[in-house]
Amino acid sequence: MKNETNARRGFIKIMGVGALVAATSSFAAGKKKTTTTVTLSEDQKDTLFFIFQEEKVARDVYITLGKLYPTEKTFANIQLSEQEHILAAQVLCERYRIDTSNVNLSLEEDYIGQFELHAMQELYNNCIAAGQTSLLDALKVGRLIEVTDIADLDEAMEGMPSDVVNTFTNLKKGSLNHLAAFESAISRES
Amino acid sequence: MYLSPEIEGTLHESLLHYYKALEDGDLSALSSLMHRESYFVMLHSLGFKRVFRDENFKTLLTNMHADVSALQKVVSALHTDLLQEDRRYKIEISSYEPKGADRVTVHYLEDGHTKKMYFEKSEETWKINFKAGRSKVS
Repeated sequence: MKNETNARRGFIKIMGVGALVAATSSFAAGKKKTTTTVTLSEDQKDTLFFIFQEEKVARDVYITLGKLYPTEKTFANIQLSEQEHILAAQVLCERYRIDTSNVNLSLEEDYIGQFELHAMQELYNNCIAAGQTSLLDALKVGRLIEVTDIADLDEAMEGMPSDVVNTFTNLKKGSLNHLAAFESAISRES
Repeated sequence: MYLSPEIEGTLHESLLHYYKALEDGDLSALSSLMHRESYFVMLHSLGFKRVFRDENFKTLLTNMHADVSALQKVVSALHTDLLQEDRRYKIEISSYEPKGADRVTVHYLEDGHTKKMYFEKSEETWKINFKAGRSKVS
């Protein structure tokens, strides 16, 4: 398991600090809202933008594998959550004035599994190639995606402001739930 | 930002070399065209299927960042995989989009599919950087 966490680790590297970005951070409901100036480096902004683009890979893999194995509901259940992950990452990008308007996140059939960035197309294609051999392999692809997502989020949190950390922590909780669902389905299929 | 014909030519050539390197399984050539981090991203993407079925390769991929020997083994394995896949690409450049002084997004068609590649200038050399998809000055 430990090694699996590194399978896609090269996707995310955390950088130092740099340019100033004005951002609004809010305390939890019922507490006072404050506006703070958060320092976010250009590299950190690059990382946020990359994570946002990368979230589409997991969603589209689950949509495609869900169609390949329509009786396996795990994919259908999790793809909805992945869409929420995309939106959460998009909110963060917009908060830090990172333009996301040129990334096509359409759920139309023609766009599922289509990635403008070649590395992501490669990753998607290879996930599908690995998952289409059997339902058990498809579930293992899901497990690998979630394990690596969790590791990536842990790494991405380092040095980030609290609002980013909070969002990533919530995404990680979601990924842990997905992982448990895939583990359960794998046990059932094995 | 104005992009000179020379820069456009350089980016065009780099993009074609990128795809030729994949066709030939020439990861050394691929490496020379890319920022190091993006190159490793690409190795992870290319290696996913092998990671899935080969525990030893998974370890190599994990260790390649700090272990030259592991990196060489990863490169050798992926070279074989790429040659077996016998890839062929048809690339047509659509446009060049400057993203500040040192970044350019190249829009193109890969076998008819809309794609884009992010380039960043580092030490006077334009290289592919998958994370350079935004302008540094928002």
